[in-house]
Amino acid sequence: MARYQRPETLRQALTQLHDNPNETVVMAGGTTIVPFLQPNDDETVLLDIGRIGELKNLICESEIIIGSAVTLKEFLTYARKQENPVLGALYEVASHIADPTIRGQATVGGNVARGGELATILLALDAEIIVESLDGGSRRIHLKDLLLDPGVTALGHPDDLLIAIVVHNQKYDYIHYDKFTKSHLASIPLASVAVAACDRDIRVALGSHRLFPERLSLVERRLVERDLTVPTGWGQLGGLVDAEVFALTDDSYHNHIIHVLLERALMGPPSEVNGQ
Amino acid sequence: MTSLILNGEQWTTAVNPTTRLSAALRESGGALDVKEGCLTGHCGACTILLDGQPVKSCLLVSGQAEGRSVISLKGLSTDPVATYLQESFSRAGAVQCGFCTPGMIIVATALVKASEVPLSRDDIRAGLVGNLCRCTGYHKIVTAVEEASYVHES
Amino acid sequence: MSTKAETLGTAPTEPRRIIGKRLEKKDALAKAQGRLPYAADFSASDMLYAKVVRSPYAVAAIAEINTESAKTVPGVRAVLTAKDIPHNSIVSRFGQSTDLGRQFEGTYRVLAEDQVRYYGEPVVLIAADSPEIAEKAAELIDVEYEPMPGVFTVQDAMKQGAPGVGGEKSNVVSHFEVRRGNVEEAFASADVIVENTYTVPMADHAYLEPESGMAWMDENGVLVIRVATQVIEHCYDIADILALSHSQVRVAGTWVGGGFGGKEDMTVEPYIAVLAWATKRPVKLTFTRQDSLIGHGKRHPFTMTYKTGVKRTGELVAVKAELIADAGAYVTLTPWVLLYATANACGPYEVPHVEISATAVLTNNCPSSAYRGFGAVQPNVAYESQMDELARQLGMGPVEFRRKNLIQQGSQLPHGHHYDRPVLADTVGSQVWEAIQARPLPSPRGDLRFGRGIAYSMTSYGRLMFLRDTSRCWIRLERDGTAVVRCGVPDIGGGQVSSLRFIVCEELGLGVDQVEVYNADSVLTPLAGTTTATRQLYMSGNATLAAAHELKRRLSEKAKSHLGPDIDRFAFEDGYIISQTDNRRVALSEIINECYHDGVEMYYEAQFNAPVVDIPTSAELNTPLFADYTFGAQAVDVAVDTKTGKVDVMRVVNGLDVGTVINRLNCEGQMEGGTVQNLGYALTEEVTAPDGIMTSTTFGEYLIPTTLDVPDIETIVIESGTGVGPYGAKGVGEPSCNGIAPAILNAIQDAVGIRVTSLPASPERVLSALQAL
Repeated sequence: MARYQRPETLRQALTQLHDNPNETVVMAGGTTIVPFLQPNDDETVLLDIGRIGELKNLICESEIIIGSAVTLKEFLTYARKQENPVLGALYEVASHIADPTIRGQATVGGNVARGGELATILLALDAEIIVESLDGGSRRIHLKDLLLDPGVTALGHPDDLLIAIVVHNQKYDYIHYDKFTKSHLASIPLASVAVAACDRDIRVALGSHRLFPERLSLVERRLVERDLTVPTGWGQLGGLVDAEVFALTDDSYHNHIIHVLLERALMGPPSEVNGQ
Repeated sequence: MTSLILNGEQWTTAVNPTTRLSAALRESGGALDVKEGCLTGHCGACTILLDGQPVKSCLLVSGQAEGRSVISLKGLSTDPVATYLQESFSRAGAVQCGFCTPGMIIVATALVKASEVPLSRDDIRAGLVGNLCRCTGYHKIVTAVEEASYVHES
Repeated sequence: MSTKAETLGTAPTEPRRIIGKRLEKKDALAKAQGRLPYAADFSASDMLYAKVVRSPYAVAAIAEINTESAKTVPGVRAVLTAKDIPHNSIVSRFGQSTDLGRQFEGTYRVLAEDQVRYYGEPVVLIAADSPEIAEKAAELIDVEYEPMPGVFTVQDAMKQGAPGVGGEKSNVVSHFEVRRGNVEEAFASADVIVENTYTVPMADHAYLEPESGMAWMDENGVLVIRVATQVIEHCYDIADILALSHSQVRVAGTWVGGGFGGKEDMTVEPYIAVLAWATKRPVKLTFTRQDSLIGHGKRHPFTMTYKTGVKRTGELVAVKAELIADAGAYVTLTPWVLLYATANACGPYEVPHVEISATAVLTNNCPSSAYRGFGAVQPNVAYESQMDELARQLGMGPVEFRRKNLIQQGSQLPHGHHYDRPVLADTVGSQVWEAIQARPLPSPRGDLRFGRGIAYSMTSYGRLMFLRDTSRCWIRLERDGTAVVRCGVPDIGGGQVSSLRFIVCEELGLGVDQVEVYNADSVLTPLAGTTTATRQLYMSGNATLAAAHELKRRLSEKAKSHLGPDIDRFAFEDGYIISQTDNRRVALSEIINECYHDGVEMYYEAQFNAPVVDIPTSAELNTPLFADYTFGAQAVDVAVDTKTGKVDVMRVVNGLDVGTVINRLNCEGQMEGGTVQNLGYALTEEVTAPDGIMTSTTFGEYLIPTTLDVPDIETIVIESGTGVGPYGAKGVGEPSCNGIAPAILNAIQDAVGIRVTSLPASPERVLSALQAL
């Protein structure tokens, strides 16, 4: 069976990662890792970072900082108490991820690192992440530069650890999030869309069960030129979405849903963030 | 070795800390009231309270519970909300095959306690969405929790 | 003593103390407290853990199986292949007392022999000291497979020259027909004809408790199997497999964590039995969910082509239907399911001209077998869609149109049964429709459109009469006035045990805590037959009632000396026998003691024999098949998102004529649960297996309804008192799941004007139908 380590400090965790980068699997909540543990895997070291205090930060000042080992439920409890619109938007998204018991265990870092729903909204909020390794020290990376493919991230060092998520605490004119799931049991949505707009700065992120979340830069550029609060035809924008998204998936229903979510996000009346 | 507090008592097990917690509790801890229905976190039959929070014990390795309080349904035998729920489930006809029931009652106990007002049927459905039942169609389960919530808050 | 259904099927007029009440079943609190043991909760100190090694191919020849390195792993106690099993292949028979011939037989194979026929077919069995060791040994099993071409659709399987799944030339394994009148002439006289082809998917039972059991050789050399099963009589199949005598195998059934037909065939029994027999140690096996989804029989996928003709005035003139069922890779219960489908193909309607042709075909898919509804659910989807479409084209209301065509008492069903019991289908349908109409549908909103639909159903309960079904129940009265009941009924969560308890309490005037029921042991309790076919209340309930009546007769004789000779006026209430003539009373326990003193036997085992008919002699059906039917209707309101195709069910009303309610909680519970189970069938559930390789192997892919996917269920319980069960009860378990799926399809049509003809009505399907408008 796999071996298990639960360091008390960040330094211990970084040392383990540094010394055994290849056989170490980092886990915090464990919800996506535990079901796949193989009983006869004697090589893997499970590095449980779930109780490292340095990864449990929750700060809301000029920047919002969320430690990677904060559970979704801890985040929800915190965000609910703050009267902050950015946290409010994240709250709405997080409160509909999976189910209440899984939210009690799964972490913000885990959801972001595997490109989950939080990654979609955080991309639209242009979030950064803090990573750290023994050799590379602590660095900030734009989230959009982190996510490459499912399971593959652009962490500069193989022994980098995700420490926290940083979101700029700014005012937005419009934050929207929507997802489509076939049933409540299918906890990973078929597609999710997040839009955040502030003056001429409009960011559109698309998540999906098959693709890593990403920003739609062509669509964003086109959107900058028009006023989101005035409904106009979908045709031109829809064409851009086709150009940017349809090359990514060959499933026509999946493509259609992406289209519908984007149309609802971009053409609908301005509204508060919509979690469902 | 993993030591934790199981249903209020210190418990040490020699199982590998990467053994899933539900298996350790059942096979080594004698907590047969923890049911294993899917091992992928979808069904909720294995739900326990970890430091008071309902979590699915098939999604945890036992090492994660080291030093913490684990409560299975048996450990709630003197809890007024849980015992009320057990009776209201039975009275409402919310128990058919019963395999999902321990997990349902664990989650419902936490749900009822966490609310300061009586829960609506919609609140209850949202709270129990991680617990599958194939027999009852959920209607009578929601009724049983609704009744317990009403009594608890009044 | 044996008793005919007819003599017990009358509804007594006196008020009842227990029957029909909203009483808790005794196992409910124990389950809610986590105290009740399920199959996986049993263990023995020296037990071994079993592992089933399954085929990674759907179709392949097995060139060689090398188990040597697996056997060398320390802690491995047995590694078995087909050749280690005395009778690896047996004839699986569904008949209880009679040999029925080849059309009704199939092969049951414990392990694959020279070839695997479907993905996940068991090939090797392992027993080891721990699950981890068994897993390690499984990884070392080296099977040399030679993949072969297979057939994965019924269309391919029926082609000339298609590979023979079972080694025979034709893949057709079963065929039935119904012919009545002349359909072609009738269609010529019809004013409106609707023709459609419907397909329904392979579906899984998805009970919460995965299959589990433990087997051991006891001190007398008897093989004991403690297992979660609907059928303890599989002890005889196990005896056949191991070449043991019937008296050397005992099945001790546990409380079952849901069955729905999925624990009707053998599940883990043959594996643990063979391993315990080989190792002489207790062997336990609990399926993972993946094992369960891959490893047990499914609800048959059907392709159903219907042509239905009607007069402008609304009278049906003809139905022509071709049903093709995918049997999967082994015959299992396919002929029986197909027979049910054939008999149910027209539903509860009087149709003068009928032509039904039903065929089942082997493919290299997972075997299809029993699932709640057992062949009645699939044609219900088709015929109720047809009825809805016809009503629309005629401009008639759905209830009005059906009323013109419903069978009535004395009608002849298409398969030749003169149905002589009252039919309350119109009462049920009208009340269900009225209840849903009580609230208006919302107006269109954004992309949402709302619709309302109804579907009727007619579902048999009790087994096919030519199977000569029987059940037995034994009751003993104790000196203190309490009672012990022994009856072989497996309780799968539907309250099967508590129904018997309530009957004994009602009859003998006892409190619910004064009766203990022991159940589900093939040796220690009288055999009661299977918990399938919605038959336990009907069969074992009648056996229990008969046993109680005989004990009452003996007690009444003895009580004469206290209460006078008028025993017809004796009532059993609250621990007393009371003369209703003058209210004199005597304690029940006093009379029991007198009986014991005088040597009057205070125990009795009754056998209930169902009515019987002869075995159908040809594929063309022309004989009654079932003793009785339950009639129901379900109505739903749906919201359809016209942009995504997603359908949400907002309201459901489920109505049934249940005959007589035995326990109101259990009765409503069946109705609510059946509704939600097939709501999943209608909208989200589908076993997916491209080229036979199953991909829906967790609850993340096989999507059963959660609390948020379904609304509250409104139930309408109608009690005609006309069933053949005790007190006039009808069966509820399977009938309750019928109707909801076509009701949803009809509501989608109402909302957006499209006819979805394939289940599940997934967002993709609904959207593509919308786009085709």
